[in-house]
Amino acid sequence: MSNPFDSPLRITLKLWIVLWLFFLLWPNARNRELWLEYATLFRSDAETRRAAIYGKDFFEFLEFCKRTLPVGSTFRLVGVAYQDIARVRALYYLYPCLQSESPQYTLVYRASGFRLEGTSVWAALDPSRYVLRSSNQVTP
Amino acid sequence: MNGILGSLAALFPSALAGYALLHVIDRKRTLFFIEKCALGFGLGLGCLSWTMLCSQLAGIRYSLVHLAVPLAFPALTVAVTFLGNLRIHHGKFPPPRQKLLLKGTSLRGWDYVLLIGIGFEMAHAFFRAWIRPMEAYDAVSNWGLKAKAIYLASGIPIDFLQNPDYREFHPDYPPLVPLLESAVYQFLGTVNDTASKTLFPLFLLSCVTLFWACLRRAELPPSRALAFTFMLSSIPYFTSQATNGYADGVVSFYFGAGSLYLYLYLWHRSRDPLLLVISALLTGLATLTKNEGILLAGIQSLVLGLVLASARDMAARRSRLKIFAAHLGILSAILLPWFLLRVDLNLANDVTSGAVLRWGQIGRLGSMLYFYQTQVFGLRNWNLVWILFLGLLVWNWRGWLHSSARPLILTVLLALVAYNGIYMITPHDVMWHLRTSGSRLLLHILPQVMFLIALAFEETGKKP
Repeated sequence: MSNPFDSPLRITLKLWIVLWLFFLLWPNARNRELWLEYATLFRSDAETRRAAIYGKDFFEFLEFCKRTLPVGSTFRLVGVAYQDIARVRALYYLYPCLQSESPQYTLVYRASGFRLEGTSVWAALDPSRYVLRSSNQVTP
Repeated sequence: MNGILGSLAALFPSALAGYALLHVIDRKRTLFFIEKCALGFGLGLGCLSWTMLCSQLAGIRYSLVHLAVPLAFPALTVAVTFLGNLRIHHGKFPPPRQKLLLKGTSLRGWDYVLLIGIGFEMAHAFFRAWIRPMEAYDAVSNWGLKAKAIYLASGIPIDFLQNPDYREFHPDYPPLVPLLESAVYQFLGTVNDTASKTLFPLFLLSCVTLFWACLRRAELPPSRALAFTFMLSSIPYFTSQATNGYADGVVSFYFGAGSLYLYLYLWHRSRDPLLLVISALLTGLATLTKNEGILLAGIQSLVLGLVLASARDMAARRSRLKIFAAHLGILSAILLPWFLLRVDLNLANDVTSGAVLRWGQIGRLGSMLYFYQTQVFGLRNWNLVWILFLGLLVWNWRGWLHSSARPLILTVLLALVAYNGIYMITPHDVMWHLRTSGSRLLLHILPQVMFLIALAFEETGKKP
């Protein structure tokens, strides 16, 4: 039976498989954290997985905000940089509450002592994670 | 686990409807069963999102019952065709023309290794998609957030798309992916983003299946077709992007398969119109997936137009004009509902509306070339694919120039030119823009590039 792979394809395929296996096995075999993460995620439920990926501390704050904020209210997140992926995860998780330039609530994450004129502390998870409520806004 | 099974159950009826639709239009039984399953999945889901867009225009709110309505049409047509076939063939369906794909497919040693490799990559993609919730940047900010908003509003929430505080999340992006994710939520009755991520490895699986089917249609021997299918499915970046909730893998599926079927239509002497219709439908659905899909569909129409315009005799040219009109008609019909909605809402794109064109920007070429060399030699992400492609482009350019693969090469090159044209005029920092999107855009032409490599190797193999 003739070999279906002529010489150029045979060489290319062998080289391809070597590279494939190398980049598949080498970084993963050495990466104990990845295996531990997989093991943790595999055993967890959906919300525990989200906590593990978003960061336990941040996810705890998001859950607290979700419980606290009235549905459909507007908010602003303080303590998370604009380009930080945590910010978009927060916007996604907290929807249908919407971010706004003139918000009803200010969500303060790990920015102890942050205060805004015309607001007061409405709910606090701990001294550095809390929600400020604007006194000018009407809660929906 | 229940969510994942639920998502499969949610997608199954649409895929079945797509399969049924193909069964109806494939009167000569040209399509192979596995090929029809993969095509049916993509077309069925595309049909679902298109119907949802039309319903939005008609002011009908999305509900589970409403989502089932599009299924009634293919079910009815299949029933009618089934009865018609019974009458015509006296109780027998025309035999499926599966020989093309099955002939000589007895597996040998290497084939098993390659099949195991493909199976491993597919299983790995599903595992990675299901083990993590939706968390990647664009997956949550672009697609996931919109899907959640659509589900909670039982329709595309106009005020959300027009909210200036959410303009950064590209309200102008076509909504096929969020619509499909929201359909999964609708079926499950809750937002379960791990479950909705099932979509993406399914698109990967379908893409790989169609790639193999197209190679077989291009008459590559089974083992070689399997080898190149393995090569495509083992490109780390290609599979990883099918696990994170990004829409680029979906564009790869629609535009990749759309281009390959167009190539097959032009290449086959029989010029089976079914292949052209499939190509137009798939490419049309790419326009509903990402803005880039609109550009790519334009390129494909241009390539088809050029090929048809090169017809010498006038009679043929007239009939080819009809072919071109049909292709363009299908593309336009698919894009129309989103186009109308977008115009109505006055949704602008940040890149094209803020585009800057100055001579000084020619200096961006340096940054772009630097970025592309990181991709070409980025073996960890791309294995040897770009090195092989560029190598063959240089070494085999004469062969390609005179081969039947010219339309496909032209499609790939025009897509690269168009994308780089956009990087030249982007109002954003070009390196940031390239870093955040450049490699993903290469995915849109990856199946075509791998197909070209396969064809070039096939030609080399035939040389004495």
